[in-house]
Formats: sequence, C-alpha cells, structure tokens
Amino acid sequence: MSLENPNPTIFSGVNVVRKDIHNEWDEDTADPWDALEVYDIIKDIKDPEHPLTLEQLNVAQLDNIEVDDADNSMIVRFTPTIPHCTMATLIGLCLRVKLLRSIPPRFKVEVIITPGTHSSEAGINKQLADKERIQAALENPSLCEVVEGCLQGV
Amino acid sequence: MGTLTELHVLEGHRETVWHCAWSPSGKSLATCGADKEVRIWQELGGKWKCQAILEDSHERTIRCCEWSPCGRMLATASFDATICVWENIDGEFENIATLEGHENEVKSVAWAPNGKLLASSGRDKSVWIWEVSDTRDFECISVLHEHSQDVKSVVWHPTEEMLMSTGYDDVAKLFKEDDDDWYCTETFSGHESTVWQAAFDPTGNQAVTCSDDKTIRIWARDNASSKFQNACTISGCHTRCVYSCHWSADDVIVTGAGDDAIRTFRKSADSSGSGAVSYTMDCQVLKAHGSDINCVRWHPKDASVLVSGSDDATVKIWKYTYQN
Repeated sequence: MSLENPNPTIFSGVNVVRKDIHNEWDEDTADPWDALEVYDIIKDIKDPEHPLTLEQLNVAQLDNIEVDDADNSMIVRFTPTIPHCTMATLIGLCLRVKLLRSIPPRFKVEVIITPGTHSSEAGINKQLADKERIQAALENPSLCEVVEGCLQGV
Repeated sequence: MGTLTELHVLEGHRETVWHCAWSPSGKSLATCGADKEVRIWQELGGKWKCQAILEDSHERTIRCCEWSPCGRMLATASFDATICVWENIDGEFENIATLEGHENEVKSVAWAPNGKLLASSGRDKSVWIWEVSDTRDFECISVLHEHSQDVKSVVWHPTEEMLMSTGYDDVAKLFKEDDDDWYCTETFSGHESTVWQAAFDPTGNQAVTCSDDKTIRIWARDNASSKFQNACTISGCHTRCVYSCHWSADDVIVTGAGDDAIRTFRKSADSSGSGAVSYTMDCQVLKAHGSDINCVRWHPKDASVLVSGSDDATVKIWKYTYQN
C-alpha cells in the first residue's frame, strides 16, 4: 500500500512547563482538568499510517484543546497532515476512544477537525459527534483492532 | 408550570441504556442497551424490580425494544443486524423469531397499532416492513430505500396505516401503502442535522421531531392538503443533541437530550390571534441523569408518569404535575 503522505513533517513536541508536582499530592488542593492534562493523554496516540505519534505529526496540538472543568466540557481539535487525508475519521475515532477511557464521564467531549484543515470537515465532524455510530464502530472487530493498534501502550 | 419529580431509579444495566418501552398496560417496562441485555421491570410493593433478563440472543448493542400492541410480544433491534421477537409464555420470555435481512446495525423497530405489521430501520439506509401472520411468522413485504443515510428511527401513525422514519440525512419521511405497494408520500426538511426520533400526537394530526441541531420541530397537518407542514421550531432550550421526544395523551411533549436534561413543552395560548402555533417550555430538569438521555416515554395509561434511560446506565421514573 502506498502512503498518502510519504514524507510528513516531524515536530519535536511542545516545550511546556508541567504543573507543580507537589500540589498534586495534596488532597486538599482541587485539581481541575486542563488542556495540558488532556494533551498528555492523547499526544502519544500513533498515526494509523506512520510509526509516529500525533504529537510528532502536529495532528494534536496543545493550543487546539479547550477544557472548561466547571462546565464539564472539552473540545479537542485535531489537524490532519494533509487536507484529503482518508485517515482523518480513524484518527478522530482513536481520539474519541482514548478520551472515553481516560476522561471522567461527567465531561461532554467534542472531537472535531481544526477548522479549515480538511476537505470533508463537516462530514467527518458529524460522524465523530454521532455516538451511536461510534459505539457501533467499536463493536466492529476489524476496526477495533486498528484503533487498539494506534492506542497500544498509550 | 409543570414539575417533574423523580420517583424511582432502576439500576441493573451495566452500560448505556438506549431505549425504554412501557408495555401497553403500563404494568411492565422493557429496557435495553449496550450491555446486550433486555431487562423487564415490574412494580411490586411500590418498588420497580427487574423480573427478567433477556440475554444471549444478540451479539452486539441492543438499540431498541418495543412491545406488540397485545403486550405478549417484544421485538428487539440490535447492532448485530438482526431483530429478535420474544413471546411472553406464562411469564417466561421465549425467543420465537429472529428476523434477518438488514445488512448491518438495526437501529429501530416499531409495531403498527393493529399488530399486523412491524417496521425496522438501520445503518443500511433502509426501512423494512414485515407482515406478522396469526401463526407468528414474519415476512418482509417491503424494503424502502428513500433515505440517503442511516435511518435512526421509525414510528407508526396512531390511527392510520402510515409510518414515519427519521435519519442521519437530516430529514424525516412519511410512508403509506397503496395496493400492497409502500411508497414515500412526504419528506420533512428543515432540520440542520441528524433527526433522531419522531412522535405523533394522540390524534395523529401533529408530529414532533428532534435533532442533533438542538431543536425540536412541530409538524401539523394542513386541513386542505392533509400534508404535514412545519408549524413551529423550538430552539434555544437544548444545549446539545436532542435524542428523544414523545407526545402525551394530555398534549405534553417531552424531550431527552445530550445535555442531560429532560424538558416538557405545552402549546401556548394564541394571543396574537394569527392562528400560529406556538409551544413553550413548561418544565426542565437540568441534571435529570448523570449523562446523555437517550430515551423518554410517557406511560400509556397515566399521562403523568414518564420513564427515561441514559448513558449513565440507569432508568428513571418521573411524576409530572402541572399547575395553571
């Protein structure tokens, strides 16, 4: 199979100041969810096509994640490497599954394409927002296998 | 104003509850979901208890369950591409038929009010109509390919042989039969995203549809043409996808949504004199469940009782009261 994007640009990831670890151990300190925490959860998901992570491919970016802990909502935008990427829905599905497993159920999670970065943006966003289709996809063994491959070790 | 009071919480399902259905008498409740089980609940001594679990028949999520009008049979639709029909034989539920034909996920099933027809719909973009014989044979008599995307739900008209379907293609459609031939008579356009469900009012002259576009739309039959027209659109109430809607015998519309809320709507008095229909929200319970609400259904005999099912794996029974 020929690759859609044989030579993707590889990024080194973000240089961010992580939170003060000491506070994390203090049970009296409220620890609201923030974008960095969500970024840490998804950055190592592997691309279905390359042995590279979503962070290395700049598909996942810290600035594209919005978390409102008080409102129990978050928006995770991802940027396909090329505007015609046929893997975009699959990458979105991997993100959905990973977040479903890692984020408390109180959160309403939206996974969408970074506006203007894919030719079928509206269609893919609609599919990723349809939880019935997501649930059906996760009961599909072959699709599930691909997703698990991308999430392995993450 | 209306008030909804939580009466009972039914716990037992291990995952998302997708659908709830009262038996025609309202004495039993069937619920189903992602744990591939159907639970039958009954009220005993003031408490709702699980009386039976129907399992090992479906291999994937059970998306929908509906009682036959006689109350003896229950049809279940599953992502495993089949529909099972169960019969209550002296209190035991026996799987009497498995209907195959849909290519993949079946998303909805509905019995016609006379019990002689069963409709189903699914991911394969089709609506199937099955004829139910007296000997409990089920024969497919029509496959309708009118939708361009998944058909999320089907519902029968309460008094006439008419079927409404809703879909991922943002429309609802109405089907009728003419000389053994089923055909689409009307397409309801206007919603801006997936139409998840529809319900008729008790007279069948009005219908409500709910959508991922966060609105509900009321459709009223025009006296002259007898076609349904969009009479009003209710927006600004729901903040996320509206998954379920139902119309009570007392003319109250209830909705369940992805914003975890249950809301009720009533027709408002026509103050302008223009004859325009308008509905206003009369009650909302914002944290009705801990997660998305997938199904809301009024009790068939007592229009003040409501059931809801949610992604939080619970089923709740509510009391609705209204004070003018």
